Amino acid sequence: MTLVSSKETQKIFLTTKTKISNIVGSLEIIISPEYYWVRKFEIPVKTETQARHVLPTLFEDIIDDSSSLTYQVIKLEENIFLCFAYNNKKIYEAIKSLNIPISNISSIYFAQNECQNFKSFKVDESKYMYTSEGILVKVPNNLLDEVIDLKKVIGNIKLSTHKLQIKLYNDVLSTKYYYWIFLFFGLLILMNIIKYIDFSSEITKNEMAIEKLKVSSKLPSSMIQTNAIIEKYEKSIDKENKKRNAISYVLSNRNFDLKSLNIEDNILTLEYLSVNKNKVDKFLSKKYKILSSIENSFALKVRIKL
Amino acid sequence: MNKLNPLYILGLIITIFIVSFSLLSNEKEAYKNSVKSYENIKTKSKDFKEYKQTWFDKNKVKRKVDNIVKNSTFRKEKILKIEKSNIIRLKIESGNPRVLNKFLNRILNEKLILKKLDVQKRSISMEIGI
Repeated sequence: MTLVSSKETQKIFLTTKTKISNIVGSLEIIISPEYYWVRKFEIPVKTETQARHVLPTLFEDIIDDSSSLTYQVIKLEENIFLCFAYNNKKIYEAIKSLNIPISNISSIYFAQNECQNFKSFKVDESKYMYTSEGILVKVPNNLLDEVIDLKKVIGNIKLSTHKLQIKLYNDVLSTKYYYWIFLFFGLLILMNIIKYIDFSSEITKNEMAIEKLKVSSKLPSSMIQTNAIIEKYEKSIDKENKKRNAISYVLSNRNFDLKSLNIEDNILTLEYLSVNKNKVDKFLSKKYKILSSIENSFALKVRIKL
Repeated sequence: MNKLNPLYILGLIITIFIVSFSLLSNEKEAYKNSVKSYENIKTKSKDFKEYKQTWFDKNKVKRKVDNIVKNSTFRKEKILKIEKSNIIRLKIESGNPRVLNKFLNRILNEKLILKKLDVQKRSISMEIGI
């Protein structure tokens, strides 16, 4: 058992004429000079990043539209830089047209850096050679006679660390816009999180205040119990108010001689002496439901529901 | 080499934003409910406290009844008071209708639970819940 995957790695030299029939395992692609421009420049800066900033102007004389290009720099010596310019989309389209699964691609390299062991070679019926300045160029086929077929020795090539910083996807927006959108949504998410935490802490505070209130008011532990008790109290108070209102109403009319008044179980019993039954009934029925009204010799006994 | 399309990251960020927004909305709703619940309990506790301390406080009810009975207006009248575990029976007898009227007014103006009330020409009897 090995800890490292033993999957096979295939190397291919990508030209405009390349055709691939079988892909096994991961792929390491070396792109031919057809896909990039390379020049050596003496730039009075110290780092590769600083050098890359001035590259668009340095390539202007050989490339008309430099807006769609990506630049990469390798520092060779002090102030000497090997500068590459390539069209990201063009390389991506070429890889896509060969139906190479993106997940299978391990790395992509410039042929410039990887084929230095061969002065000249041929691939896919095209010939390439290094110039006296050490730049790999594609040359007319009749310029070189006997050259090595790179496909036969490609497996022996020891790849460098200089990989293409290529984006293997279709760019809908530029990276700058993506950063702005990410920042925008990032801020919104952050704001949501802050608000969420704020609401959570407020809820906790409210819950604590509720508990404190329950303890200080000696409320029963459950709201069901509290509601039932309050409801019972309110019912009793309502009954009491009804009784008082009824007494007040009955006593408000001094035309009738009231002998007695009795309240029991929501029933008010009134006894009148020498009164006109109809008048009394009319007066009481204005506000209350008369349960019974019985006239007996001089007395009138009326029962009303509160 | 960058294989990951930023559109996927954008999709992920938008998803996180939607999830965070939905969580926030739920939390906001929970906060509103907690405020409502707090206000509700505040009102209920106020009512509970008030009812308990006025109408349903056994000692206070007894004190109110005692105050009425011991009032100088009714001192000369015949008053019968029987206290049981959950009721107080009270009866006043008087030939003076004004005294009876005043007694009845005092009782009715107090926050007392009148289980029974019987008003006659010369007497008033009642049962007060405690």
